[in-house]
Amino acid sequence: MLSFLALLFSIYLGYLLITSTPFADQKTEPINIFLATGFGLGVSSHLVLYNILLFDQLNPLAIILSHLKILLLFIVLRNRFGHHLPKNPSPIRNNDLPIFFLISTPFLILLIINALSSPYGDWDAWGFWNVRANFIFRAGPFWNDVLPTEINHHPWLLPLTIVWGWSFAGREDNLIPLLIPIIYTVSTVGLLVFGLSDYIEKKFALLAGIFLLSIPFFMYHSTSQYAEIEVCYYLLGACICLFRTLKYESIKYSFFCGAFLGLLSFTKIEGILEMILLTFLIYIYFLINQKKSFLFLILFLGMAIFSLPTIIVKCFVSPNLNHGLGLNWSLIGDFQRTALIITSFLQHVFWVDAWGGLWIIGTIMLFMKRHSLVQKEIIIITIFIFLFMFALFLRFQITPLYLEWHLSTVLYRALFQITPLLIFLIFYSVFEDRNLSTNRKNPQPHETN
Amino acid sequence: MNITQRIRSPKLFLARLFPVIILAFTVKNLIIDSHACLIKATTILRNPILPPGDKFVPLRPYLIGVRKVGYYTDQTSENPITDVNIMKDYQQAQYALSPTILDYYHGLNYELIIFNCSSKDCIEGKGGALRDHSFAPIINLNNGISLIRKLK
Repeated sequence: MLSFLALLFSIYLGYLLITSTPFADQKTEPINIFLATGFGLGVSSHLVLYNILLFDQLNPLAIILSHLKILLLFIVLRNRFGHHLPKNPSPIRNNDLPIFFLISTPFLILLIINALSSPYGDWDAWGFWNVRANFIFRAGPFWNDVLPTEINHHPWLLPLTIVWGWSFAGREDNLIPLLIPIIYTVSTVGLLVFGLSDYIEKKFALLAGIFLLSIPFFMYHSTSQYAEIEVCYYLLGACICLFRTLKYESIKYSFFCGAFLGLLSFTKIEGILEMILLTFLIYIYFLINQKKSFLFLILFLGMAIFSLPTIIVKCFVSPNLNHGLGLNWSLIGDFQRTALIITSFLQHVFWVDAWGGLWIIGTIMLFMKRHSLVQKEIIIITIFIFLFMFALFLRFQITPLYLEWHLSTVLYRALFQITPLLIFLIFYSVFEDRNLSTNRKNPQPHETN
Repeated sequence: MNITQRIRSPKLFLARLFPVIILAFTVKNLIIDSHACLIKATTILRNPILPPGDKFVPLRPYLIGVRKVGYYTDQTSENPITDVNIMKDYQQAQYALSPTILDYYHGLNYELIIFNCSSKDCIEGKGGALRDHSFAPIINLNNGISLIRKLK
């Protein structure tokens, strides 16, 4: 029960932060609840880290108190200055949300069965992520001891979120690592559906959501308690906030776009790469299209605040692990490796049935709708996916590991990270409703409270 | 718009056909997912899932307050870090026994060593890892796993 409460507490905190920022708009859209889940859990992981650094060991009481302080602060600020904000900003009154959950129910049941069938997660869950949480929770002042298996020094969003739940519950309840991926999976699907609704008809956005949830590989891997689902979520969240920033010239969404980029960098090493790539592309886009520079500054501010824990963990907590695996640039001209990487990639995406037709449909549709991929802000996602693929190729080419093993363990996870974004791109390019996009620039009266 | 006009406008035709294709794939995926879940659910009901590294848990009381111990296995590989058989047991042991760190790479350099052996001779027998040392077994779990104190 306490484990549920811990996660609900984080989600409520996230929701309060998202709907009470000084620049919050007056909308009570369902998308806010899906932005709040991951944002709240991310904030909790940051608070745990700052507390551990402050006390040099885990102090559950201090962690709970710091959560309460933030909550109270925002409640007071909201009551004092938020007269323009809705009194009870509940997205549940919106009809779209019950419809979303009703249609998703069979898929959600399967998702929960999947999660329960692997209650301790797959290999990396107990081999890396949960064992790091065990360490932080059990080791007292030696919380940052380096494990001999930590050859890849990933940041700690997932372990710290687990530790937050355990600190609140007062024990190592396995329900926490089991529930976290379910929350992130549902939130990713919610973000996809309600993010796409800005551009395409709702029925098609809903179809995109259930298609994503039905992909056997997504269903299986999202509940394996790896950090990939968090990467999926923050990557998609950052892109959706970015689009809203550009569409509405919204200060709120530009800040949260930056915040999601910062949280993205705290998930995994790939998250850091994705944050850098996206920020660079956003900067270029702002520069070329002469967008308001203060929006980018706000975005950068959000990113700076929320990527601080990544910098702390990477540079100060365990700096000795920053050597990574040692890249070997002389392998760049090894055409045998290149051929093997390309063959494995093609074989993986087109022959593996677990992708549920995604790559076959995606390739055909994106080729036929190629002109819409380079229009307006969607070009950022298109270029990002190509750059990410290139970076992935480069990683396999120059990392001196046994290539077959490296490909078999990393390729599918990296592709998994961009799956929701790819579906966003496919549905956007096929169904974009220009009337809907234009109308959204001038919200109708019923859309505001 | 009749069928001839639709075919003349392939983009429009595609946009109309696309949801049907996606829906068909979604239904197909749902069938695959349901089948896989049914198998998983049956398996869990028959065999409850134990926590990873459960067989190492009896060593916990002996490692309270111990920060680092050695870990030794008689299984060998050219590249142990990518060897599933070696790493699975090792990482499960690490999960079960944390926050004590199990050093796989310099396993025999510690006073306390966890042995995970497939043969009886791997500790003291001919070619055993500790044949040149005197040692005192602390606990033997009789499943190839034992905790040893190295005396010299």
